[in-house]
Amino acid sequence: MKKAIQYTTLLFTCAFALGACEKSELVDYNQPDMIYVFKDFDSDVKDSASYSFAIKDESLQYDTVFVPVRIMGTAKDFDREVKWAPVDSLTTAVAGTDYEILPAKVPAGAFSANIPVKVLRNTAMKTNEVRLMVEIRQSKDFAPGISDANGSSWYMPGASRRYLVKINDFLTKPNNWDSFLKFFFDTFSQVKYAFIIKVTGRSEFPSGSTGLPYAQFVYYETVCRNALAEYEAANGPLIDEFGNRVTF
Amino acid sequence: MFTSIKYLCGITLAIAMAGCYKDEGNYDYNEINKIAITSDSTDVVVSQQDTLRINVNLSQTMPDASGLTYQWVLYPTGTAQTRRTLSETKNLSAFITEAPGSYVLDYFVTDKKTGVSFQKRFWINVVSAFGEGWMVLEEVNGATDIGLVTKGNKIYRNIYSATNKGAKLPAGANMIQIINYRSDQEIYIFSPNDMIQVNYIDFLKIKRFDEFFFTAPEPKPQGHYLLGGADKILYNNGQVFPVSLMTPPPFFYGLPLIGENPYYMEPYPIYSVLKGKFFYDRISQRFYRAGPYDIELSSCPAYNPALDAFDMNNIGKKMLYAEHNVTDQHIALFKNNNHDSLFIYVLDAGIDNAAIGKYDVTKVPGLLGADHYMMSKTLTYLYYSNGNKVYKLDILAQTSTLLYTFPAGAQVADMKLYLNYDDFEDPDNYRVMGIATNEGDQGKLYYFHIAGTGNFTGNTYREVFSGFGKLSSILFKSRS
Repeated sequence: MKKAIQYTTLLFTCAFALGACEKSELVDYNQPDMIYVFKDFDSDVKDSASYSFAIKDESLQYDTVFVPVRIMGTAKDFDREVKWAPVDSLTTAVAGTDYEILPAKVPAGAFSANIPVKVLRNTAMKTNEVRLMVEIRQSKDFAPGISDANGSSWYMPGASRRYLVKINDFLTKPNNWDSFLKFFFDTFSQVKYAFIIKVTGRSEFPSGSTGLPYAQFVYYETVCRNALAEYEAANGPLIDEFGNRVTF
Repeated sequence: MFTSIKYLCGITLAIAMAGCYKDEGNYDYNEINKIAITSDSTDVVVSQQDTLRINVNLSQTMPDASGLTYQWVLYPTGTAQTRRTLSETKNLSAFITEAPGSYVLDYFVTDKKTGVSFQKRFWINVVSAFGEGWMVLEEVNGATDIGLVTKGNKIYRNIYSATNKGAKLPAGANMIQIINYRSDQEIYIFSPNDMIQVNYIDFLKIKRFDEFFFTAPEPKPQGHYLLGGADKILYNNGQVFPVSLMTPPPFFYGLPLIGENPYYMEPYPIYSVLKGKFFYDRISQRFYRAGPYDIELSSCPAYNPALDAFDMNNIGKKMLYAEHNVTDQHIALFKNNNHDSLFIYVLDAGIDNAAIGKYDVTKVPGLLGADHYMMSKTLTYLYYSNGNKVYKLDILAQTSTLLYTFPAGAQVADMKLYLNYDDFEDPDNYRVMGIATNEGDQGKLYYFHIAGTGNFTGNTYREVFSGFGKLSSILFKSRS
């Protein structure tokens, strides 16, 4: 009996010791798939975007604004549905009149996507700007992700569940005017902007690493300056909607 | 039962303990042939389109009759995208077609008997055949081409047409300029109605005049300059086109600087990092200025007799020449409107009151009627030529010295200082002057060494190269 205890003890000891050789499995971290509005730190439209039909062709009756989103979690091998809806208390735009909700998805294998918001032109927009606060909602594939993180650098971008789209049909300050265009065109006014569009032949002036070359902004500034001098020589000063003389 | 358990435990322990067995490494080793590779140098410079030759010495500890195989493999340094086996012979003799740049050359010697390879690495710097030397614009039978005299005194001619399918330079090509921008080298050829850029490696035409602009003006290019590393200006028909080199590119020119009145700027750059650009208007006969990002010209500070040697906003003379001298100091040569008096104005472009000196040099021999000018970069001397004579003007003393007289009938075509951007320790920097002459039916290129006095060492040239066509412009080209 004594030997049986000894050998049994020895056998258990060996088994216990060898048990240490067992490979430990990795522990999974599980989080529901989520999605949020991506706020590129350097973007002029990271929080909101203004869409103006006034700089588009007269025949254009609708267009699409894209809201960038990114997922939390891993990519999947199938398309996934993204749901969004307006925040009623912060929205003046009317569904079917000012905008339409289009189906949105994150394609298979993708980590990012764009929510398409169809904006509709109507005569009321000639005088009134409408606001559409888009909010990410729970879908069968995604829960709403991070909310209200502003970001601190290009490698630490921000996130939100909401995004504001402003829609109108009159000349409004381009999204990058205050951050960039003002260094070439100075103070914004609708009259000045219309003049710029007329003499440069373009209505959008994208800046940043994917925008127009710096030299091209200088070129447009000179074009506007020369054109204004010609205009003033023929017509006198150009006065904007605030009663101020337009200058560049 | 107990016995079985006992054996089972014993076997288990034996297996477990086996992992503790120390490998003593008691194997049998056989000596193999070891090959040592030596050569004179592992850093080699070779010109593009030239033959790279490397001889090696091999020593073997156990040579075998089965012999050795060899392989020379060349690939760019950094992230190699390509590799080329240059040769499979013991010593290397291979024609180099690779683009200029840094390369790694690996030499492998493999013992056929054992299959064991031994390696030696070489560092190869492929340089352009046309990388360094005096460029010349020469006209033969009415057609202008580029020649190059290398530092080894090898003369290449018709480089441009050889690279550009026989095409010659635009008609009347008469000026060659270089802008060294960061690690790039931009070579521009000017003609009355065009300015083209050629590749600095092989002189292949890259751009024509209108391709430098968003909206190109009528081409009458006069000069193209990099100012301070962040600004370029292009003079065209008296108009000044600026472009800031802020990213993103491309750096196209837009419209000329806006003036209060119509202007025609003389094409001589005057600049400082602190105060920006200065321009001299032929029409109003006064200076204007513009900051780095300005799109319009502005007046210079109002004249202050206590501080200013002259009124920048009211010169009233015809500018003949202007060039940078030392630091931010520039020299401008003026002639009065009666064409009988000459003046040197000295500007310090780095201070508010830039007008710092004024000298009457009317009586300096040969200066009235001079045809080419060149400023010293070390002393306040202006070199100038008049016909076949070259002079040195001591501006502060308002005296001149005749430095050299070429044969009767010779005509100086251009004068330039030597500056090797690739080697700022080069003892010839600013101490050698290249002078192109047209003598009879041939052009000649002279090198003069400049002594500490500013005169030519030994009062004569150091080297001369003849046999060119009619020369119009010369410039030293450094390696890039």
